[in-house]
Amino acid sequence: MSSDEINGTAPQANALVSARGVEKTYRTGDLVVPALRGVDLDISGGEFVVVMGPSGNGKSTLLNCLSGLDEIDGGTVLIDGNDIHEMSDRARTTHRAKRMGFVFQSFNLIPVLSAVENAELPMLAAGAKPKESRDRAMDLLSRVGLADRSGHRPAELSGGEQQRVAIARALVTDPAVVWADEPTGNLDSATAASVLELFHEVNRAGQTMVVVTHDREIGASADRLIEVRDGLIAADTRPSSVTAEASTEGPVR
Amino acid sequence: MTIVALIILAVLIPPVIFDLVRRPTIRRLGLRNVSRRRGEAALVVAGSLLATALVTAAFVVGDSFGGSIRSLAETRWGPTDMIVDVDSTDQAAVAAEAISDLESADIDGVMPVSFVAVAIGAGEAGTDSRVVEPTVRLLEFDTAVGSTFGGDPSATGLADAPVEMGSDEIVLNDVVASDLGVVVGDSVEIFIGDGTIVLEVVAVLEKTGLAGIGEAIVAPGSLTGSTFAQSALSDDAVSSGVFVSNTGDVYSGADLSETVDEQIASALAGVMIDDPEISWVKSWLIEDAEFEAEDTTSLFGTISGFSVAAGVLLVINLFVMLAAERTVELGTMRAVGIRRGAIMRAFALEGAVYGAIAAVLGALVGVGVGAGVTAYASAVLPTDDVGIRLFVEPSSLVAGAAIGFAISQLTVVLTSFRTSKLNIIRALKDMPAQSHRERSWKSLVGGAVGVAAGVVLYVMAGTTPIIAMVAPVLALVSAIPLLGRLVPTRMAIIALCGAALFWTAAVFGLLPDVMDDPDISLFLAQGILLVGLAVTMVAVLERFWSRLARLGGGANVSARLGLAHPLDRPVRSALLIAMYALVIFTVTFMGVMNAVFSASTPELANQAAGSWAALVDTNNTSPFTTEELAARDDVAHAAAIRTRGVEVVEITEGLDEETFFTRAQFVDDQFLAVSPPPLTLRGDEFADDAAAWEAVVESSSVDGTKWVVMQDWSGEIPGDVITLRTPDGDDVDVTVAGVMANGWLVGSGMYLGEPLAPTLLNSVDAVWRHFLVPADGMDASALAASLNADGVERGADAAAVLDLAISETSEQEAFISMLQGYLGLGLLIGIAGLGVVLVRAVRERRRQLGMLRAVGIRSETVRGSFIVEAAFIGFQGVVLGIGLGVLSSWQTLTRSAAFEEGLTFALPYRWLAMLAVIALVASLLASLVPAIRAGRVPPASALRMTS
Repeated sequence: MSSDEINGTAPQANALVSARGVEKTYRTGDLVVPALRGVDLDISGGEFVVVMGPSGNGKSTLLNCLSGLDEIDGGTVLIDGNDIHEMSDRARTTHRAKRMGFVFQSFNLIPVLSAVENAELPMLAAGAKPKESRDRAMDLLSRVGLADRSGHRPAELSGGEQQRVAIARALVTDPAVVWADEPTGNLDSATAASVLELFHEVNRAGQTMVVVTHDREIGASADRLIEVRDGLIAADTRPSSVTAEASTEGPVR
Repeated sequence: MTIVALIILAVLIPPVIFDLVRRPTIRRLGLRNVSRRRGEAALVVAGSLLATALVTAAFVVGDSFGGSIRSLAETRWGPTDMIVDVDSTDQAAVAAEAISDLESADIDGVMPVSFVAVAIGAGEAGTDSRVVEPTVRLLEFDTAVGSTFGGDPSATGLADAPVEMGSDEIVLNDVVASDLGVVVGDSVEIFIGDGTIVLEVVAVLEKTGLAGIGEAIVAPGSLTGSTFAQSALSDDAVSSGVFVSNTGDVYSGADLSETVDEQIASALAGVMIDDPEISWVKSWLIEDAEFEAEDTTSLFGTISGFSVAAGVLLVINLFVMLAAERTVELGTMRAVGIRRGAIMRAFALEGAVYGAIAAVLGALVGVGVGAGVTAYASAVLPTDDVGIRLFVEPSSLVAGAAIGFAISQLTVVLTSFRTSKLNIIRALKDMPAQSHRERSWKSLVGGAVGVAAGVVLYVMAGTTPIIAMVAPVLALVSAIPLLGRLVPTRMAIIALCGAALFWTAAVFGLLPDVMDDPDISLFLAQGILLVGLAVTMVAVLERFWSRLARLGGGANVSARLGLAHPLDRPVRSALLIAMYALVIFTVTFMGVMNAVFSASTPELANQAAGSWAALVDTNNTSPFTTEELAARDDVAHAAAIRTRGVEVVEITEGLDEETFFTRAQFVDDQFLAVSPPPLTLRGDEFADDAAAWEAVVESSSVDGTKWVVMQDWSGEIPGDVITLRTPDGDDVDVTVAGVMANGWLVGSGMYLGEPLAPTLLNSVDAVWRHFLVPADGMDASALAASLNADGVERGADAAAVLDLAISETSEQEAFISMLQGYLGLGLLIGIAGLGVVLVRAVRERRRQLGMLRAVGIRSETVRGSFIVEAAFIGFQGVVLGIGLGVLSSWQTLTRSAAFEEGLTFALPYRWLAMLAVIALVASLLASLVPAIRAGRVPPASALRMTS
């Protein structure tokens, strides 16, 4: 019996990410909190997807489960056609290193490494040669406007600069998809706007982006807006499309 | 130390108790944090108790050494408190009667005794059953008197002895009887001169009391009254005396020694025995016990000081860790209006709970460690008949616990002073604290005061070794902020710490006169200073290390991460490195000391006896003659050494004249047949050592200067004049021709010419010591074995001088090994410290770890980074510890007056390599658990928790 048969819907043929019946429950002592209650979702290559919804309704959990950062309790997640939750931890880690990039709200740079050293980490982890990694990291730092700050440590950079380093780090392996969890949450509005512009620039170059945010401006600028409520996808719209309300592609459950 | 600890506790604990009782908020904050994370609390307690355990163990080892000797005092002498030496058996009888006539209330036993060392044989000659004990202490006294001597028959050990003994009967103690394989009713032979006396064993007694002092007991006159024996025994062979028992128990009796001494002296003056030699045998043994206990406690206490210093660093780390984990809540507390003092007090309360538990547990663990050291000491140390057993005084437990508690509490209070000083906003945001530079004028004033203090201290008290070492270091280190105004601070630190390091390492050689008799605490201070200065210099070289790390670990993510963290936190890394290096420094120092002593063994033998390769002693009842020895095929040269005590007169201006006996060796020209011991100092009037020795052997009592050679420990130098007193009461001045070293190995003291012997000694009947050179092709050890076999009935005790040196070195090595093992416990502190820091790092870096895993860093890479971090710390600790240990030991062992001259410096390369490997492996082991935990950090939860 295939996962499609279990979940009742077939994955989209050209989907880069395809989730079916994804469930996730948090348990703390006697407390059981269902975070995802059977999510089906397909994301195509090159899409700029924004996930929104009230706090505590499962946005970040969805991102973690789709990217393979967190385990799931039920369902399947296919990336490039591979079920990432069936992979060993080692294979999944390698997959993340080569095919995914991450940007977090609190930047999560290694404070003891310089900007360029932070940016090149995933490439080194993926087994690239040091010179190749350094050149690529410098190239990306130039793209995000930090070529002259490459030797600085995170503590010596502003919040916006740190997030740009994190974006460079996320892009350094030329991943299939970049996952961003509240990437502008710790930034002022001007800096947030510049980061958003950077995201779009990257997306225009063909990079798939999945962004979890509370920021309506980001939502408004997305190709596709997914609203998560109570662990389910409550709406899946295309804000930039004229027929936004009618364009729901994925099943809403 | 204990008093200081109690004072510290008296200052620090009452406020804690006050808060506990009267300040509910502080009580809640303090106590609830204790039970909040039990694992962490257990870690803190475990870390704190190590220092307490080591301090307590030092006390317990002291108790055990002292207690063992004290228990010997209680049994060895039985009821005998004092022994009055007299010249003959007749004089002993007269003296005993005079003392008895005193009817002193302080004396409850008086007994004349004669003593002689003899060989005793048993079994049929020429058969396998034949056994000969070469040297047995034989006492002659009346067992009827002996059994009631001192009023307590059980203490005399003679309860089962026959009341009347015939002149052909003997009593043996159970040890000698067992060695000879005889029981009551068997016969034994006493060897005297060329003949034997046959006696029947009438009782075998437990070795205690008088039956402990005398391994064999015969009735008065059995030997000294026998016509044969009298003709064979020289006057020197028999010692006579009066045993005196003071009233009271072991200790109160010993306390009466001075009073009884005066009474005896006055009683004997009445029978024309002037200035008798009275030995306070029990009192002196008890004093020895007290001294030994204090000395051992001090030695182990000081040695454990290195580990305790490491333990203090561990407690600092533990509390900094606790504070770091609570940064947000500390910030919140400050934000809602809780004052800094209250936070400190809550920490103090929490620390007091940990400290109290650690003190109690540490004291118990300390008893276990002390028991281990005692068992090891008992197994490896030569203790004669002192069996080292475990003794634990309750006061030692209290002292150990108090010192440990005080160290921990003081550390906690000082650490909390620093950790409670936080930026509220940064703390609330859980951001790393910004380092604040002290305002320049403050550091300048502080530096200037430090420099002035260092200079003043050196000028005022530079002849005190510890001040001479520390004061210049204080001045140099204090000058850093001053020099930092002119050159970059990093350069100032390296230059001044480097200079201070050089001074500390070289001070023994630079100030030989000041450092000639160093206390062991001086080595402790030297070790701490060296490590502290070196670690400071290494810490400011982080740029160099960073570059090196980049060169070595560019492509390796584990290496990059593992090196980046310790380099980013130089102070914390320095504390850790210091913790490791301190322990390894001491262990290295001792290992090198062992190697040097071992390598110096041949030189030790040469210094002690020159070319004389063996010596043989015999019982004075039947000694070898020089002619007899020289005639042997296996002997090339034999020299008679007349070994006796001579009376030295010490006249100090303004004080009464004092006299004491010192060992002297009278030698004649036989002694110059081969090279005599080399002289370390020689009078200018002698062209070489041979000329000086020639002057000694030719010195006569008739005319001219009477030359002597002294041992270096005497403090005499060539040209010094020493006054000796003859038995007739005349004074003879002798002049020091030269000074030699290490003569103690062959029991020598002052060397005098044989022509002086008749003047300075009562009698010159017999010589029972000879130095020997084996015949060509004959080994000294083999010669000694052959002499022992041939002379067993004469109590022959021969040994190769080199074997004596090796045996002596082995004893030193065993003792040093014991100290090393004890110090090895300090390594546990190092491992615990590193483990704690890495466990803390896993918590601190949880978000980073989650991110690393998220971006595709494998768990084994994360694990590897922690192992690299531990190895980096361990490596620096090992390199600094071993490097400084070797440097310091080279300086102190070869260039200072603290150790004997002529030591051959040697490095135990293999041993040092093993130490390095063990220490590095230990550091890797310490990282194992944190590394595994770091590798298992689930990325999503780590990011979720902290984002």
